[in-house]
Amino acid sequence: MFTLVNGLTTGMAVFLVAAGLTLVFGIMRILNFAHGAFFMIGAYVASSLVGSAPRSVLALIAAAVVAALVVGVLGIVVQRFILRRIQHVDEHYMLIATFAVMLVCVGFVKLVWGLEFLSVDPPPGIDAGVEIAGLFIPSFSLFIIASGIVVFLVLDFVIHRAWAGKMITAIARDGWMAELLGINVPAGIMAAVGGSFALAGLAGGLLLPNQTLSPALGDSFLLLAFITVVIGGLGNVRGAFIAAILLGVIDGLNTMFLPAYPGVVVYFAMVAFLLLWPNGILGESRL
Amino acid sequence: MRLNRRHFLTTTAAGIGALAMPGILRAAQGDTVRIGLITTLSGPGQLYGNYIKDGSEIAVERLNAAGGVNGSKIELVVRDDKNSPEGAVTAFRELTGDGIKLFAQGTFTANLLGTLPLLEEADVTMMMVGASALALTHEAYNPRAFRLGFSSPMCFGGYGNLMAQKHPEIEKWAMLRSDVTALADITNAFSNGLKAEKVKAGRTVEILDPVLVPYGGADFRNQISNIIGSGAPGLFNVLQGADAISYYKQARTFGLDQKFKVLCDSANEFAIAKAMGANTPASLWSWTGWYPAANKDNAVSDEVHKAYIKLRGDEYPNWYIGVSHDSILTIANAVQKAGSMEAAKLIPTIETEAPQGALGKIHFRKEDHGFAGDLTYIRFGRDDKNANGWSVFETAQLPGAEFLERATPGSKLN
Amino acid sequence: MNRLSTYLLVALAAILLLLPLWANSGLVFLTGTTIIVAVFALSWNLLFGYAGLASFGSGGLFSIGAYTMAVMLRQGYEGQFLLLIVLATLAGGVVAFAIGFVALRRSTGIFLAILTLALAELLRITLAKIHWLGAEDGIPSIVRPTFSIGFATVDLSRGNSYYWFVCIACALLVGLTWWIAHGRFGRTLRTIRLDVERAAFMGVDTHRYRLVAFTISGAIAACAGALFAPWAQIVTPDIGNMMRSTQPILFTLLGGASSFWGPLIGAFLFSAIEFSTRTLVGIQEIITGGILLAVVLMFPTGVAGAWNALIAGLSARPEPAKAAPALQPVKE
Repeated sequence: MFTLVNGLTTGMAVFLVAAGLTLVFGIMRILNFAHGAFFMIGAYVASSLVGSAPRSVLALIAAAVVAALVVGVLGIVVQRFILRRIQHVDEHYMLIATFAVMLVCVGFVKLVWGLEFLSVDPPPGIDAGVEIAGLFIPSFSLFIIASGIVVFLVLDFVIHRAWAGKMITAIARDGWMAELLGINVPAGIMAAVGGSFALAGLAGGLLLPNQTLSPALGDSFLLLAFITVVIGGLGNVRGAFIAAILLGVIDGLNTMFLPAYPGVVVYFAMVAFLLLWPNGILGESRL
Repeated sequence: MRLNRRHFLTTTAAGIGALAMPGILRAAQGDTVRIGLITTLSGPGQLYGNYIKDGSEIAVERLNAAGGVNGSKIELVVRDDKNSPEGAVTAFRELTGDGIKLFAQGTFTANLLGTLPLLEEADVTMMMVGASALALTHEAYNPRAFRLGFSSPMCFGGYGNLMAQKHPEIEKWAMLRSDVTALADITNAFSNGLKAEKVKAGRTVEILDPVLVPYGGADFRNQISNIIGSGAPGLFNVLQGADAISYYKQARTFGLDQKFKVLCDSANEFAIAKAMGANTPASLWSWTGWYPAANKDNAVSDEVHKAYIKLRGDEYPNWYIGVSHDSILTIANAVQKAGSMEAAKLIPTIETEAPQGALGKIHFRKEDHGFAGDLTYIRFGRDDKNANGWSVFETAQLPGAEFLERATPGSKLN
Repeated sequence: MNRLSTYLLVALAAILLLLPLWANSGLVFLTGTTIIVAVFALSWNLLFGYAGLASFGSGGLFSIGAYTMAVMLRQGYEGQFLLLIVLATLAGGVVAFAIGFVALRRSTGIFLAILTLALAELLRITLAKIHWLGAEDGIPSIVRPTFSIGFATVDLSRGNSYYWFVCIACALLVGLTWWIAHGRFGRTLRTIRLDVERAAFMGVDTHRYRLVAFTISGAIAACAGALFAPWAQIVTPDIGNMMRSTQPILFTLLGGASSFWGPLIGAFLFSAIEFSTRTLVGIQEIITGGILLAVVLMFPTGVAGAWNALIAGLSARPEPAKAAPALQPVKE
């Protein structure tokens, strides 16, 4: 039972990171290698704001929002000066560009924050645990789960219901036609990309008390987030949400039934999923 | 376009000129004793590589301030192994090609295993800085290399022994380690040490199989929940770096402090307390290779400590600082005594000498060039009275020679 | 290919062959490594540039070749060294065929990329758990073999002889790849890449062609790995890690995917950057990332593309031509 709750926690943590990744893909058709690095920068920025012991849950959320803004602006800069300049050439050049951005970000973090490990505690209120039906659950886990669900609901609403989402969808489906209809395409893309990158920063801030800050932080989530995005269907936020939960639960069952091989079953699951549903469980989506 | 032959030749010459740069560098060596330092200076291992570089540079500064080696200054030539054996080999061959005969290399075992077979041909002497893997002084033993590091059976066998002495009442131990095969040596050594001491005292002890956690993972809660359910009052944790800190953070919510009577960490020493501050576990043991406060009567240790505080403003240097300092010191001392940089003269000198280093007398076992210095264990934890939120409660030292494994140079230890 | 490029190629080959006579041994080692990974990148581009399939797990096949060689040499088969290379190549080919057989019909594009990445990671994790293969520390002290070929004995253990062996073997592999890429097979692959449906309509069994390309590419990658094992004299599971798998991608895109020689150019350029910045420790990531960004922004068609554009501009007009257009779609 704990395994399931914890699977949900892991899944939501991964979803927070994967959401921005899948959105960027939906808009720009690129697999963003730098996403993990942006996540890490978000975490470092937030940690500089709250110090090692945030005073309250609100302070942590506020820091995460600021981190999201900073990373969003950074994302717009990267999009404006790098990605946009090469969007007309082969899409794989985007890949190499994001890879290079990742390297620069890691180097930057090393220079600014150093190599020593940093740690941020969960703020008071969510630093203990609660007993639910005889089951001990850390309240920070509940915080992660709640954050994941809120982010998902907001995203889902914006994409499928709100005007902004429809505009972005139109641009992503057919930029030329959207332009003809009087939509400011570059501005739309910029806002959407900024938003997607901001999600990475937000995730960095919210997950801050979960793990240690080190320049290798980006790697720990990047691969899992990649897997989630692919299993869920590229560009598909709903798919990523379901895939993240699935992965979390699978990983939990892995520790329960195959404790000698932690973290291995996820790969097998992924290979199986890809062969069974080559386009992801909910299919690919251009948003 | 048409090209004449002259044009072609100038292009080629320019190309050769650009590639020939290292050839020019090769000529630039004066009357200095050059020591090549190969360590990890990029990627996740850089943290430790930086310590090794700092410690080595402190050593060079101190030795040069004291007049160098037989009147010549020491020069450190630092290269990044890019945390891969081929990176280490590239750096090694470059430096030997430049005529360097003295080497210090450290962090990861595989990178050392890459360079060890090349020592013979290059006719050089090497200090293996801080390396703990058994292979280096057993199946991959090379007479030109010296391990200035602590083998797993020695420091973790001693660790288990110490815990059995300090807590004879604990009859059940749990262990948790990262899913890295090389770390199995550590849990094995710890449980052997525990058992040996218990048997001597006529008691029995139950040691549970290690719970494995994913390496480089982000979530350890499932395993934490398992280990807390084990009911053992003693716990030995073998995780490295960021993993270890994330683990203690996540375990805090579960009340790790209350659930276990004795908490032991393998070798992360102050990295945990420095990161976690006021949320450090209430009491945590750790092994360390060098802790200045435990070496009060050692002037060299004090000086290195002061030099490090001056360099980085950090009062709690990582143990690699002391070990890397002593590696350079050992080489310099041998060159001074032997009056030569030839391996044939240096090796017997290093074998017989015992210079005073930050760790104490630096002496190697003749058979397999293993190091048997003092073993230091520290217990630290949360302390609200201290400004940084934690303090060191006690230290314990054991003679390493008692725990050093059998010498079997050239073959696997069984 | 124009004449200037041919001259340059010949000159470079000559420099490579003569390198051990005058260069620092570290540079020689790096060059040998670069030659091998350049061929590895070439095998990747056979798949990408010609068949339009991007694999992110090529490091796994490289690793299979390297481990096959390392194990067989450890078991004492150094006398059959040439056969071992063939064996390792076959091993890579068989594994690639099996993966391609299952995966290619179902997934292409990014799904194939991620699938191959996951498989390579699985292989790496598995290798790190097998004690017989040295777990994380791998197989060290691999011998450079001595073997006889009927009338003569070849001793690759001494001095730079293995370097020259690598040069010759890689030249043969490059020649073979060139022959495959520029023959009927390569042309058909290009047709498929440009328009799968039209190619299928013309009666080309597109699946079979892709599968064969996948297999050949895997075999060559494994062959490069087999050459690498005695060169580095140690193999570890990290030999097939994600960084290894991204290497050919970086080299190819840096050098130019639309050119046959692109991956080779990219590999050498990358090594040159690494070697010339080796003393700037601690800021390696920023340097490598910055240079990559600069190249991608300035030469979005890769260095080979920019070079060809420059040559085209030069031959069109004798006076210094205007710089190659910076933003220009890949020409087919």
